[in-house]
Amino acid sequence: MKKSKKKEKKPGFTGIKELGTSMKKNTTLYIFLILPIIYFVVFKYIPMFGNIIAFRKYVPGQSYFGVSWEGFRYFEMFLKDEAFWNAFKNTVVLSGISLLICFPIPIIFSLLLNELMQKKFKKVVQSVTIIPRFLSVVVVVAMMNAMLSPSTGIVNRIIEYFGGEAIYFMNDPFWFRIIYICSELWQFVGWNSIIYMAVLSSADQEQYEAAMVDGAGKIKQAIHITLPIMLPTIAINLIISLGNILNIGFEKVLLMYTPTTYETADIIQTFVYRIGLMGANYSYGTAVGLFQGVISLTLLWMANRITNKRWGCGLW
Amino acid sequence: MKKKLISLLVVTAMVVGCMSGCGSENKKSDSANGAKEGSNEISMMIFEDAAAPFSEDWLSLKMIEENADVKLNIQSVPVSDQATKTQVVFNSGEIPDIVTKTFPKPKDALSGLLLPVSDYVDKLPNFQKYLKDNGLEKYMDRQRMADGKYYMLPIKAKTATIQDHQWLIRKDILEKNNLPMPTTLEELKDVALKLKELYPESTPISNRFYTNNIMAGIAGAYNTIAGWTLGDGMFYDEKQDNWVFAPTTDNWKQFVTYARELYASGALDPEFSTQDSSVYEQRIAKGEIFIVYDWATNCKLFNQEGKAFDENFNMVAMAPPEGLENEYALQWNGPWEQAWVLPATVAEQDNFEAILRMIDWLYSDEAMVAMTFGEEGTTYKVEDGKKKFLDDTINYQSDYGLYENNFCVRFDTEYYKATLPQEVVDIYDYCVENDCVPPVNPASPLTPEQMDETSAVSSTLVDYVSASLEGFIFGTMDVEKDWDSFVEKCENKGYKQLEEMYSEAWANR
Repeated sequence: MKKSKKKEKKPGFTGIKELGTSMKKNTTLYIFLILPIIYFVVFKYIPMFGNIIAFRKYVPGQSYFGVSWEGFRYFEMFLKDEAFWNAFKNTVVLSGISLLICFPIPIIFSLLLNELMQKKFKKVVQSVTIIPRFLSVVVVVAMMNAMLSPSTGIVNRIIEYFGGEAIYFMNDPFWFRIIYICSELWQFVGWNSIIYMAVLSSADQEQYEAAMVDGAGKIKQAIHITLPIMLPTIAINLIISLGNILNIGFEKVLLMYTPTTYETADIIQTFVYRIGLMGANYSYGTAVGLFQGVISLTLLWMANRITNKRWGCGLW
Repeated sequence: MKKKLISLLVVTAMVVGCMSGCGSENKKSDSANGAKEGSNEISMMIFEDAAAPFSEDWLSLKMIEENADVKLNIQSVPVSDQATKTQVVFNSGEIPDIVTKTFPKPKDALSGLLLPVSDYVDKLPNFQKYLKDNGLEKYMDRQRMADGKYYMLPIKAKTATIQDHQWLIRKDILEKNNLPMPTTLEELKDVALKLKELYPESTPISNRFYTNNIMAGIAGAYNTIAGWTLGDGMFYDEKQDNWVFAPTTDNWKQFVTYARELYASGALDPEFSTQDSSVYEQRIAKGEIFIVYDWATNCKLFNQEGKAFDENFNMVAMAPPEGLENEYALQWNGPWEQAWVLPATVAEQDNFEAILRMIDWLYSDEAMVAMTFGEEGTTYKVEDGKKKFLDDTINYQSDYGLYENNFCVRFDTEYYKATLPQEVVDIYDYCVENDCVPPVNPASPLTPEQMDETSAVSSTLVDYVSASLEGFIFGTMDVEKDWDSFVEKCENKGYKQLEEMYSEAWANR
């Protein structure tokens, strides 16, 4: 994908000869590419061959590519399992809500931050909101567990102080999604808004002045000037997020969920982890993973086509 | 010039950083490759506990090397990685000569990956003597797999079945409030509720290691399995000599009913399924928890920490409460808790004689004392016919590698007399006399093909059962009203086929 991107960006590219001259001209750039390409080939492309065990039976200790053809047997098995469909539903719902909420907020946040006049305050706010992104997900979940504990957690202490009853947040299927989204926001809003801040800071001030002269209020300015400037960035981010829709934060869910919260917390990846890896059903797990990969790819491709047609700015 | 120098330094640092990762990888794979070693060099993969990190200077290692005339190459992995690491090592095909703390999975054993130890027992006279003297041959036979062979060596093997996981209770609080020591599960619940009345801020019964831990203990009192002991859900009923799927039996329903009552009445800590280990210990010391299901030896630790809060703090092990008649609330256990497996390729290697020699020495009585107590005069002494460690403050496990789960092949039960409070030793003896500890299931009778068929089925079943267990306990599923739909769902997921397959395989053995 990286290679084809480079090819297409040069208008009128006609073949290997041009590649050769390009390589000579920009040797250092191509050398930079070597390590990432090796990384992608070794860790992303070669393991794809392993997907074959979704169709062949895998026996530990024997061939990596399985020992016998099973056809669609594993696919039939998981498509009939209601636990799988529960996981699928949860993945889509969690990603959907996450996208709906966590996607616009950094945009709004950067718009608001952009309006601040005091530079120092702005910088402080930016730094403070970026820092949580560097916390490991394990630390974040441990913090959540400590704060939300019904017997020792501060949130419940406050609830009880106001006369309410302590809620066992981490073990309640209803609260799972809410806690997940809130902690995602807390951790990533600052970081995700950086890219939008970068776009905004390079915005042309003349347009704003002209708009103010024409009598446009702040909100009208935002809608008609700022948003169109940010649109390409927003579109690309949106496509990437859509492609990840089935790939939602596995580690966080794994750390947060308990058997009681499976009905809302279990997502495809944790399902594969439990049944496929911990239960040592490798072929079954691979089949599910392959299913997820194919759907993600389709979504990504569709999203790209739509943005290309509608706004003329897709990922490829 | 300066810029170039700095960028050169940065690049070198990055490259060196990458290379260092490569370097240590190579070292590890060398020591794990047994084929290249000399004829008395043995490679082992061990899984170290954080409490006793491995050290090359361990006395236990030196004793093995001297007495069996071998040289050990040890590769140590943190025990938290054990499940994934063993899978990786087995799948890679380059297995060290001995892998510790691993019970053979039928898939691996019957596919020819592991060594059928039973074929070589004639070369291990001390092992045979150990089994014969303690009446454990029948037990070893239960480890035989579908092909009639067994693939493991029992480690931490004792002369009788001891269960380290017991119920601990604050004896001083009971005495203070004139409450009797509970002997049955119903009495346990009553005592806990009375304690809750007296100490409203407390959560009388609690647990660490989540649902799987305490539920495995309580299930034992109903002659069934749950939590840690659930496995693939199949339970071997000794009286009827057949296998049943435990979660749909009547006993399980009774077990779940009790667990639900325990939770709903407030006797059981609402956070029992998610509690953090260190928070749990703090709360015990502060006197917010009175009854726990934990390692029996921890009562010493709790007493030490609790004394700071309450000078009368006295936590003791209590006799396991009875549930059904003659069934006690303990997890099953065998005379051994750990196992070694060896790769099948070891039989062709030059060092096979050395391996057998080492293993045989380790099953001798002399090795039993040496690996548990160390060297007389250096680490222990004999007083009035009883063995005692020389220094109570030294942690012999982490400093000398004694009574360690990776190397202590035979475990001297005199260790308990030497280190535990008398009450705990009494409980262990009580358990042995009254046969309180339920027996472990025999090895699965299924062939690898059958296992492959049932593997995904049993995984999804167990997954559903674990979620339902919590559902029943927390009340989102009602034990009376939802039981039938629970059984029906299990049926839809295929538990009856599982039972049929097991019955057939067991009958055909």
